[in-house]
Amino acid sequence: MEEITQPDISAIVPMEIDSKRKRRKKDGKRSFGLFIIFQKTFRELLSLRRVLSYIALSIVFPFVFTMIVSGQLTGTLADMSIDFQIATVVNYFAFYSFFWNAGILLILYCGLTASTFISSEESGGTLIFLLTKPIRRTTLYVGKFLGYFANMAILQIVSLMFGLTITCTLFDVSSAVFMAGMKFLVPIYLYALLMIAVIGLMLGFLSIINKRLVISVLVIMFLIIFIYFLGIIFRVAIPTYYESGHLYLIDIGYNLSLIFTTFLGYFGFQPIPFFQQNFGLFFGTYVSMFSDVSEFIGSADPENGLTFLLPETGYINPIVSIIVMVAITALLFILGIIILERKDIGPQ
Amino acid sequence: MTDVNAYHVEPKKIDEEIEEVEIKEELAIQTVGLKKHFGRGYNLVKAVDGINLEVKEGEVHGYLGPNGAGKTTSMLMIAGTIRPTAGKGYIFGKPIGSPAANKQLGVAIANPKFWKTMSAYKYLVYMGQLHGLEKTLAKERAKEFLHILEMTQHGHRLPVAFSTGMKAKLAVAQALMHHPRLAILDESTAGLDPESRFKLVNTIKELADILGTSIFVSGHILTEIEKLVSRVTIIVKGKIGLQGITLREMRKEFSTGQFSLECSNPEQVMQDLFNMGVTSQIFMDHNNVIIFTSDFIDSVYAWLPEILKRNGAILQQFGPLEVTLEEVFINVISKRYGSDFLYEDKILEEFQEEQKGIFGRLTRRSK
Repeated sequence: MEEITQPDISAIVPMEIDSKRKRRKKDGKRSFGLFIIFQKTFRELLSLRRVLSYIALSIVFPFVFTMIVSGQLTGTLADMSIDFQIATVVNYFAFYSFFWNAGILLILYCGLTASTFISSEESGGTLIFLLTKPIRRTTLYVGKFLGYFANMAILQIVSLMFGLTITCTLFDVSSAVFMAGMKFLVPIYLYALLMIAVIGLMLGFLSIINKRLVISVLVIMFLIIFIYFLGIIFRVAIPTYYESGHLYLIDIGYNLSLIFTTFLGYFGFQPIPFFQQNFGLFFGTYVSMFSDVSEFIGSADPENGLTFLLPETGYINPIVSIIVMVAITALLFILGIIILERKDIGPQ
Repeated sequence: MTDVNAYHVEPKKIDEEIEEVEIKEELAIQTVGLKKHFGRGYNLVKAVDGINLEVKEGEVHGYLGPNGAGKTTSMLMIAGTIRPTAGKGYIFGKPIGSPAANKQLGVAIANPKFWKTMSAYKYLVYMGQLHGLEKTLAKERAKEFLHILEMTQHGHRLPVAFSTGMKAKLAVAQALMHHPRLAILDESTAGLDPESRFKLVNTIKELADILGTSIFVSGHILTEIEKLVSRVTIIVKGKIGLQGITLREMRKEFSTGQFSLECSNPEQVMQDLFNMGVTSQIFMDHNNVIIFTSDFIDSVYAWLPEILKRNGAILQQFGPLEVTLEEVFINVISKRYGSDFLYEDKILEEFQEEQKGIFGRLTRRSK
């Protein structure tokens, strides 16, 4: 802790109306508002309690998941071919990452953080002081977003690394499998970064228009249910109408899974039956078990017995999904800035 | 008596004139037809209704008004946290709410709030940095201001746990630490005990003198404001009631024509003055000071030594009775809005009590 010593009173001098250049020379390097806001937000979010709880939660799910699936395997994974080991580890890692580490957990943490960007400052009565400083409201918002983004990006890479390490350790596979898995960490991480940005800006907008935490929590819960569980209800309850009624257009889970598998595909990802079945079931990315899949069963690759070769549903081009998502996010960001610029902030 | 309306600025047709306003860079604050309306239709509240303010550089300008008059709203509009509905405002020629204007500004408000995880020292450093101070300089200034405000030993404590007085001091420190050209202090001493208030007011005044900062201050303790300010503006119901008048002008304009005489043996002296027949409305206040009005004050001056001598009295003080800011405040408001305006709440309460009493008696009778 820095010691606060008593200053030399003679140092307190009247402000001279010097030229800008002279003043700058005298004061040294001047602080950059955006960086100051970024730094404070980043440090605040890096609190030990928050980081530890995030890491703990990001470990629990991969641990439980790997324990369950390893029990279902016939034999020991380490005894099987290296290709099989890699495919199994990568597929399980990708599956729970989409569901948990870069999914529900990420949305929960990003949502709770972003939805209080402005509202917590406003209800806490500190925003009024920030707005009297010579920084634009947009700078304040962007600074907070960048601090959050950097913080979540670091937490996310740690979370994914822990997940992969746990899976490899529990399967007792070699370091070669771990290194191969690291290659697929890149697309998963890229997807997670996209999610951090999108959730951050969407719920950042909410923080501008809403001050009540309970509403933020409800919106986050609704978002999680909508993404991860609504699609499956649609596909089970109204399987024909889902396709004919173009419900996939509003199925965020489907669109996200499409983006996720596209990212993985760029890195040569080979889905195993488990991945295809479950992604098809939950998100409709592949032709699911609700459809007639008998014709595909026989198409298993006799070489390694891995691929089920369930075709992708391909309702939408994944590029369109990305563009629409980015466009909606950008729109909310711009709208948020406009509202924030016009907002009246009084004392609490 | 003074015609209060002479100082009142009507906001009529101000909107059309705004375009032609001459921006005066030498003024610390300049507003033209500044308005803030909340709500619509029946719920429309004209919190600030077209005010024209001028605060000169280097002066301490008081901003007074009863509760709900629009003081805080107009101050926060100038500070840039509330957006005006209409009108314009400038801080040293820079549009209000812009970073260029805020760069020259320091703001402290009543009941300030702080971050729960940031110590007082770190808070000041952070605030200084946001004002563009380099980190080392911000740290130096934070230490300086903690020392000036006698808070050095509390620097590493969390301000959320501070007393009201310490919070107020910290808010003032963050408003002045970057040596602004203008400080806006809205009820900055609210909630403080008299001793702390006195100390803080004096510190603010000293700092303003040293730093050459113009101060625009509002407060509800008028005796305190009176010590601090050189010029006042009174706002009532969102409109300017009295425009930027100096205390000297104010005393002259609002003079009651009364004189005060403080001496020993006041009873006998008062009797003699009365018998002279050159005074009227002569009385003694609770401090044994003789108060009177006179149309022949020269005669009073001429006869006073003789009267004092005759009664064996020693003169302590004699001169025109100085009108207080509080008296001007009440005068302006009651003249403009009726004498009951300041006591509306009290009258309403009394009326309600009375109603309750009547109702109670009727109910008891019916039983």
